[in-house]
Amino acid sequence: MPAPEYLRSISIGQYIPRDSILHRMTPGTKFELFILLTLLCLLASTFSGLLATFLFLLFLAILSRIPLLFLARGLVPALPFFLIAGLSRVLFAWPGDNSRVLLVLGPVSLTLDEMKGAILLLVRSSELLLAASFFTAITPESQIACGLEDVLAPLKRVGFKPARIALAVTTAFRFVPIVAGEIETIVRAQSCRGADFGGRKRGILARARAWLPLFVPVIVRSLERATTLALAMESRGYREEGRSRYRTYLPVPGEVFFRAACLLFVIALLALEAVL
Amino acid sequence: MAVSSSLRKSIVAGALGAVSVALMFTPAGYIPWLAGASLTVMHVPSIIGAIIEGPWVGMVVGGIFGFTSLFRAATSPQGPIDSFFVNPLVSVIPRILVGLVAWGIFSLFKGKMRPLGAGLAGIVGSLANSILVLGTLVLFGAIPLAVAGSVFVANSIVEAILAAILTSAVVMAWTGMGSGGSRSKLSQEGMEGSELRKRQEKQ
Repeated sequence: MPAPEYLRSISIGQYIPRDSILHRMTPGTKFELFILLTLLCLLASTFSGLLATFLFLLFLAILSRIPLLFLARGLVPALPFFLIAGLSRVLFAWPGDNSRVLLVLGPVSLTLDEMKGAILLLVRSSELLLAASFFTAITPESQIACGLEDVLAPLKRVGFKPARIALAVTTAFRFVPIVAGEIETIVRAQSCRGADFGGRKRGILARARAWLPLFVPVIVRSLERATTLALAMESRGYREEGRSRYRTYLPVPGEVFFRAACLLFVIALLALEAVL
Repeated sequence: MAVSSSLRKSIVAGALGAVSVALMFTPAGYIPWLAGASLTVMHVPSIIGAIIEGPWVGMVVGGIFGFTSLFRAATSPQGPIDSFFVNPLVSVIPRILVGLVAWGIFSLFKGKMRPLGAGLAGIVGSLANSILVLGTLVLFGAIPLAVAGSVFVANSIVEAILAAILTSAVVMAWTGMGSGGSRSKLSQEGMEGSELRKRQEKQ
């Protein structure tokens, strides 16, 4: 294992601060948008459906004033992999493929279904990637727990408590740097004692034994920390019901209309796809 | 003082979720294995959460892990298959189900033979993770079935054994089963490193 400097490499998503109407919307709306976009990418099964999804994404990106170049750049490292996957779709014969053969090159034949499948895979994966990086670009980390709570709020009626999930997510955000630091400390400490994380040992049992002195303390200490934190919160009078927020997000004018329009657009698009 | 169980569960879910995420971002989550491929133990915290605090905790830990891997795949993919984790059917749903499966297996033992139960839950939970992730990758068309099969044989079975050992060790360490008498929860708080080490040495 290389010299541990773990804290540096931690980043989940990339927030792009811009003063746009989308950035100012409530976190719940941003989550809703992300869910709608992902649903569209997964459920759209035709080229025109995926094209409409792409145009929708483009519209949102322009509205959010996020440079399109930034989104496109995120796509670049993934594209070769999507292409390879598309290619493997063409190279391997897929069972039950009786469509028209377009091209034969030695043992490899390109059929209509293979071509369609490969292109759909490529477009769909790229759009999913764009949707995810778009979401992290408009949503700072501090809004994620809050947005999650808001978007899960309708589940309250069936006895589900979104606040608990939000609390878990907030705790996780707080704990990640601590745990990463602790992993670093333990790796150094155990290396001083001659622990071998480098992988000279052969065999799965030897490897598992090498990892135990790292894994067990990390988990046990984070469980201990969690128990202490829960006790501390309880003794300071934490209660689940009727909590207010440190920061409240007010909807921007027209946000309700925007949400309804997006929802309607997605439903209409999917319905249109199902009919055609 | 008894901590209300729902509060403790939320916090434990968050703490274990943080371990999953921290493992993902540090080399500690990747154990070097044959030919440059590496085994992963990042899903083990969700199995442990399901065993010690119930299915919901396991599922929330899995959810935190899954979403992190989704957004990470979108912004900084690390390997050829990574990019396909932008699909929540690949990255999120299987990880949420891991906790449920592990809890189901562990609860079959009804609290008896905990080390064995935890080990089996680790094996089955880990296999469920591999099968669901590889299965959805195949269904999605990202990799051919043959590749998924060889990854399963080369990596997943070993990963499952590893998960079993780690799960069982952690669950025994936490519930005090391995070191003879069980500790009360309160006496575990404030336990310092030396005590902790002693307890691990006993195992």
